[in-house]
Amino acid sequence: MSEDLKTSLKKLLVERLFLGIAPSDIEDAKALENYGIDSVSLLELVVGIEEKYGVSMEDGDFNIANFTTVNAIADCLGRRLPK
Amino acid sequence: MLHAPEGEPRLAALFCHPAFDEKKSGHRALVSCARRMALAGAACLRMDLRGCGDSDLDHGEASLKMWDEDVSEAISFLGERFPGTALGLLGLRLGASLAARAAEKHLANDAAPRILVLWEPVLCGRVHLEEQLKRKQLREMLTCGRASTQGRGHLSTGSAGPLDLDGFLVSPLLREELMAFNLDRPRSFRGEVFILQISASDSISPAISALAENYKKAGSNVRSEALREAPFWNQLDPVECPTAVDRTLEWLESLPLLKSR
Repeated sequence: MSEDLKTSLKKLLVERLFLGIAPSDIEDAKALENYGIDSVSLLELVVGIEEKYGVSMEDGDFNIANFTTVNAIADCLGRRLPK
Repeated sequence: MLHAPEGEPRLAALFCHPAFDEKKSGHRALVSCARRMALAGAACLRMDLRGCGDSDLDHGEASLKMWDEDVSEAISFLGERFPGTALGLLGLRLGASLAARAAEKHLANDAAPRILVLWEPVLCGRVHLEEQLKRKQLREMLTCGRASTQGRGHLSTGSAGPLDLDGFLVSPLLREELMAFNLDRPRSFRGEVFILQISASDSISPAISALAENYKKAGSNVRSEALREAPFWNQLDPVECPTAVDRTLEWLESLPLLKSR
């Protein structure tokens, strides 16, 4: 999966969710809840992803497996982005 | 609830609250703003729209038309209660949208609002409804592993029954009204307008710029500001947003209209 996409996602997470850490502090495979990301944050994250990448999260994307880590989000988002 | 200042008010302001889950979390910030504005000399009326909070009717019976009527009645009340006092509307999220709609309707009478404060207004009803559905889908996902509610597809099919946004029933009429609602069109309100964008961005979005421009074309004096803050109306617990209040009070104090008394 593109490292650029993961880097971009981490930047989005930090900025959109006001995490107060550097994007590089977020590990690709670490559970997002370790960074204080909760149900409220997820709505902001989804809206942020849709705005930034011009995609629309479909009903089937709302699966917990798609939101556990940066890797998971990047995989899900990668399927939505044009090749 | 009327927050009255000591002595004659310089301004009589109606507060318009957000809809759905946003109302609960946005409440504290609006109360705080009303109290601080009262200390600064403004009479501030906060009310629950029908179907919301302590007001009559269930949420499933509410409509945008009904909420417009509620806001209009409250404006008339303020005009009668404080004759000769400048009237203003302050709204948060969909409440800001309702305030903007009401300002268009009360143009030609003596009790017309002259001041409009819009905190992160909902510009498109369809997008707002889609976000509330996403909120519900995310909650389902966190509880059950995946969402069972349909998202945008559910809005588009126009199913006959009410839409359940986690306890906030949205009637087919309200859904239809929100799907048709859009602030991105020419405005006719002419007065003082303050648009406060509250988001993760510290620059004004094109959509807010366009809204500001439409007000300017109508002859309004407009200030728009970007406040980089987490959207407090989406938090689990009610939180305050003192900076939003600071910016609003600072703008109000700058208005010649309020200095002339």
